[in-house]
Amino acid sequence: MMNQNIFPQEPDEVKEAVQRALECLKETKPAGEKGGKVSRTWQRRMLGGLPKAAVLAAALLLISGVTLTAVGAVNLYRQRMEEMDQEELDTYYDIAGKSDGGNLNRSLTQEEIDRKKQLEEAYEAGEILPQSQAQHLEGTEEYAQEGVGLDVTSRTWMLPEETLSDEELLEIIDGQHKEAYSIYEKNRQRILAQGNWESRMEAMSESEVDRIYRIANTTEDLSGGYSRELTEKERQRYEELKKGYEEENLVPAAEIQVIPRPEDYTGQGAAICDLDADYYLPEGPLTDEDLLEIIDFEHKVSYCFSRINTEVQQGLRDGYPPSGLEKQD
Amino acid sequence: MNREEFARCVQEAEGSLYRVAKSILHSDEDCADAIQSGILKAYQRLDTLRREAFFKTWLTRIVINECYQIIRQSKRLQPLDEDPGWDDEALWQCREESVVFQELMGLEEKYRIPFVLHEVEGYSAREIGGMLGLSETNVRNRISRGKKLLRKRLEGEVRLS
Repeated sequence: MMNQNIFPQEPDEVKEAVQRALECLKETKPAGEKGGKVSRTWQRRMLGGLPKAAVLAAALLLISGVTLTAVGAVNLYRQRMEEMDQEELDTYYDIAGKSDGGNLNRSLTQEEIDRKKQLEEAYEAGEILPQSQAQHLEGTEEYAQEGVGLDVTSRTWMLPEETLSDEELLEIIDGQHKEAYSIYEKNRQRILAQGNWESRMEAMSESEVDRIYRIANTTEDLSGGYSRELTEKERQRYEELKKGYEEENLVPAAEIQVIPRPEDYTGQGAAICDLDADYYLPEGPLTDEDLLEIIDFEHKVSYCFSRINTEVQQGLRDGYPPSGLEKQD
Repeated sequence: MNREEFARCVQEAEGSLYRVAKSILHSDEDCADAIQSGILKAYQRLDTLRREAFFKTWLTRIVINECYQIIRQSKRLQPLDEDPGWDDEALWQCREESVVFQELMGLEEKYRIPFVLHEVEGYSAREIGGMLGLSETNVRNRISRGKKLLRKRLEGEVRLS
């Protein structure tokens, strides 16, 4: 390491600023959790300030004819959450607002609690899902003592007297997670509605973040280069559009096309290549749309690396997505 | 982490935060603003920090974001790349370190900041990637390139204009 003395000494105004900030802490509360309705998985994500879009994981499975094993392996749990449609989201969001606790009509036995915990871990890992969904009841009186039901008017889970089966526990777990996800997703939608580029970055789904990480991290030589030099005019336009993208909410009409290999480039529009993470450009002048697609992707790459690293540091991820694409037949 | 622990960790990181901010922003006044704002934001988001071991990295990243926010928001400010006026002798005492500093500050920002974070502050390429939104490989490339460029500058092959 270099000697830190090469830098000037920290001036008094910086020391004073730090002291002022620390003084202000006495009057500032650290952000608390927002409500007690959110399951720990989605709560962690919300508290991490890391909202995700409900871009369907399924839509990510096909990229220029390439199926990504890793993306395909997006766990069933996440996929199940991201596939909730707006009506279902609204339903669970409404249910979540009914009460703070999420009541049960009877206590779980210790054995049920232990089993629920084990099942929930498997559920969150995408290893197991319920075969069906708990019935929704318009009042506790509708409960017919069969299976488990959720009274959506009071957010009360109605359980049979006999010991809950794994399926019944999973239906409860599923309902609770969908509630949590609906809060999370609604927050994400609110952020997305702000419409600026930073909110759009934050609104990317985990699947999308993983996908972009893999595309951008497929090569050791991550130069992010172009297949040809930009002309001076294109460079100038790039800078203008980048400013528009960041400050005036200028967005491309579509996402940049992803090509598996350089030879797959058709010469039309801008493309990013899985194999070398380079941008492939047409021989003719780049249009504003081409440049905006490049700018958009560059911003996403930057954001995705940052977000993944932060999530790993905060314990929201176990590790980094595997580099590169594993192609399936 | 309570407020007292937070304050202690901030004070331990203070010098590092200043050096990182200084490698991005021109004036000490702006560095002070970025650090102050970063500390407050970090405290407000303290719940998002799940591992205290990452506190310094986490806080540094927030301060870096604040630095860029200052650059973005203020038209009067210029990132160092656009204002390589680091030969203001009145700023620093005339000593050998200041020559290295000035040559370091003459590097392009994309090399300078990863270089400072790695070579001066001791962060790993992966940590820097997280702070700057770059891949680990890209960070390594930039650090390596930054080293070569700095060496050249110090050897007098490249001089500040």
